[in-house]
Amino acid sequence: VTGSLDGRLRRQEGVLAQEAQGQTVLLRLADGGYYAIDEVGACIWALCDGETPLTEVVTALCAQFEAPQAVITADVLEFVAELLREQLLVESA
Amino acid sequence: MSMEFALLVDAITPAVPPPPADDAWRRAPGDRLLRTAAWHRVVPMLHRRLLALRWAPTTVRDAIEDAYLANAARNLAVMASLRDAVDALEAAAVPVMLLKGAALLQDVYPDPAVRELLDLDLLVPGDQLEVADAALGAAGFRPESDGGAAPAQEVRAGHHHAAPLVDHRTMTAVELHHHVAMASERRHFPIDDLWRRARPTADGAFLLPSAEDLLLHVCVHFTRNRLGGSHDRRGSGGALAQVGDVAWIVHRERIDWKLLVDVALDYQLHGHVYLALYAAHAVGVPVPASALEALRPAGLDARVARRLVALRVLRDGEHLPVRGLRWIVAPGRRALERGWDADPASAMSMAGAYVRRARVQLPLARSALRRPWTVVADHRLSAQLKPLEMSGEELTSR
Repeated sequence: VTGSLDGRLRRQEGVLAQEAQGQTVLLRLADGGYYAIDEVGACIWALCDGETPLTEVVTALCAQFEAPQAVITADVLEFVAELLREQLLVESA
Repeated sequence: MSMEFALLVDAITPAVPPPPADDAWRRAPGDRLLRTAAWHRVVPMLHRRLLALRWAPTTVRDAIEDAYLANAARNLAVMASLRDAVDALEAAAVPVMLLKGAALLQDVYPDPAVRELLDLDLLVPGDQLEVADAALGAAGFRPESDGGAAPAQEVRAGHHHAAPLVDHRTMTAVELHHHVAMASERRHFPIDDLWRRARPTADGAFLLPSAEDLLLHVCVHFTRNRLGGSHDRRGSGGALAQVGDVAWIVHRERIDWKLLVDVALDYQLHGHVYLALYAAHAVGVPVPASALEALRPAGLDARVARRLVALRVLRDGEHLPVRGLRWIVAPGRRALERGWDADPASAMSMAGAYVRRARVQLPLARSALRRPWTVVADHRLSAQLKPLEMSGEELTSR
């Protein structure tokens, strides 16, 4: 899915999230690993609901943030690839 | 008040004050600020203050932000354990009420990441402790040590909560309370009152003490911690975090001060509540003067409360354990049994525990002896507060 905008991702079970003074903290309960993501990352995280394709995630971010679509697309793909590697997101069936 | 304490008092204030007009606060030494904040368990709250000030040496700011984010993650794990514990108790038909930090994180602190949470304190009816214990055991909560929990009857008679049960998935300890006050404090305090005044959280997910009971419990706990001492806390540890709890309750809850005063007097806990509210008032928390006056024990020397603030709140680090030098040199057998794993049946075991304890206490004793006047002041305050510790009865002047 890292190279594809057609995929749909969902949040891994057992990963908890909480807003914290402008950042969002993600906690993987299985091993206690935690991550802090910024406002843009939090938007992507919220949109990864298992239903929304990444193309729509990019569209939503383009409407919200002033940056070229190509830049946003590359950033989204890089970000979700990292969250997949860290087992915070999984591909939706 | 030193600059680092001025910053920390600002940090626990609900309405973040604007930066001071002069920039003297910029000269607060960052490493000392961090150390003091950690001692008082307010590092995450300090993060909020420094965001508003837009200042701190980079290394200190990064350390404080790291601590804040780690606390946010930690509290997420604790809250997951809380949900599991309450679900297990409710499934076993055991009524459960959240206490202290678990309660404060529901509706009092808007950002739960600023408040450190060491464990979960849950109140259950005393006659259902065994059922509650079994329900948590079935849900995966286990005693900390292999020795298992003390029998419920023993817990009810001697202490106000059972030995902690630990959720090994999140390493969160749960303490089941049958009362909020210790045996010496609860002779006039029927716990049924707390259940009768309880209320649901805003989202209906949990049961909480009333605003007044929440404040009373936090105050009693604050004063108890200032009275007692141990080898690792020494009377002032965590004090500002507890004052912060008082500040946030007063800020966010609609306190019926007359009710608070009435129940504190009825339960003969007004001395405890007075000292906590005096300390909060002394650092700027808006506690009504009329409530303070009504709670003040008859004959209390006002200097005692002022000394308590100076020696047990606006202070940090290595100083004499509040029980004094004698407590260092000649601990009771129970202290060795309970705190240092001594076997009372074995002289060797008791001696080993004494030596282990002495190794920890020795640097403190040396430090204390370098500042004899501080030792005298601490000892004097301990003597003045002793009636409160021993009986929970009215504090008298000495």
